[in-house]
Amino acid sequence: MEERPENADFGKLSQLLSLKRHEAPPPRFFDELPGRIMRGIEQDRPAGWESALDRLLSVSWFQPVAACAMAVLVGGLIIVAVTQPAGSDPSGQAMFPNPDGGMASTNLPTSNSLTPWVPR
Amino acid sequence: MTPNPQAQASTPAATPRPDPEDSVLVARVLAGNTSSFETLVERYQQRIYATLYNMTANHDDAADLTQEAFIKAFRALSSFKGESSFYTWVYRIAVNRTLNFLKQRKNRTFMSLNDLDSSVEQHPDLVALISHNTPARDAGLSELQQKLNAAMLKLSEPHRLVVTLHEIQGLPHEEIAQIMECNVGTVRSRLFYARQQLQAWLSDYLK
Repeated sequence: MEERPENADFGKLSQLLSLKRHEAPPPRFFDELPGRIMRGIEQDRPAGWESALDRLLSVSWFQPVAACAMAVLVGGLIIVAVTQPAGSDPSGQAMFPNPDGGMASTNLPTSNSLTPWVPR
Repeated sequence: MTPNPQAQASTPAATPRPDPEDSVLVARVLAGNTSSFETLVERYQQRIYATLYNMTANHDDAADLTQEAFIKAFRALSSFKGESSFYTWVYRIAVNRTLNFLKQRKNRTFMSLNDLDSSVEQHPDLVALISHNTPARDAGLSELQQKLNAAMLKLSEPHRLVVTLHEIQGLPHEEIAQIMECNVGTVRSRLFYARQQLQAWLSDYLK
């Protein structure tokens, strides 16, 4: 290590700090630490599908493609939800449950298709 | 440092093969060879542990943090782009984790210091230091160790880190700047301020 002028006044301090290089952990600590770390890695390891997903996500082009696919899917679901109101069939006639458990369409105009059925 | 293939070809068969470079080991780990990571751990565990020990002044905390840092590095290895050396990258993970830990530990600092190794008695600088007629001589090395660690803990974490990396680990300013993600001027000014502080606190032992 080169000695700079700014270090000159701190020579004795550097000598004192060198004491810290002699502080050693308990014997065999460094023999055992790699094993502990590798066991920790094994325990911490995600399930197969998680690591596959991790690998997939680490591929640079995958994330934007996945984001676009998700956006298309969500957009499609929203369009379907908006254009197809709940409780209606594709013919435009409202579907109501019969008392016997089946479904029956009414002859009511479509504008009334959301009128709830009230059992007598 | 890239091994020279020609030099390897002319090397006698009895010479042990050089250890693979970090980048080679990283590629092997990413290809699924987990045991290559153990080689990286063996290569850097002492330096990482020593830094974290000097930051925490506590063996158990340093051991746990070293373990956590390597496990975190393993999990994040796919995000390692090779823009810095593996060594700097792991150091950064370990240091950031330790700084967070120290923030949480703020009010419950206690030292659990490692023993001094036997070679300390032969260290010329330390022999010179305690052979003068100063409180250092009367104190003995273990008391000196206590005082030194207490003074280190009085430094702010960034200042302690700079002293640890430069004065104890011997890293150059440029590498410290990479680890701490700051510029070299900041490293120099922190180092100067930290030395001044330590010098003032330990003045009785430096006469």
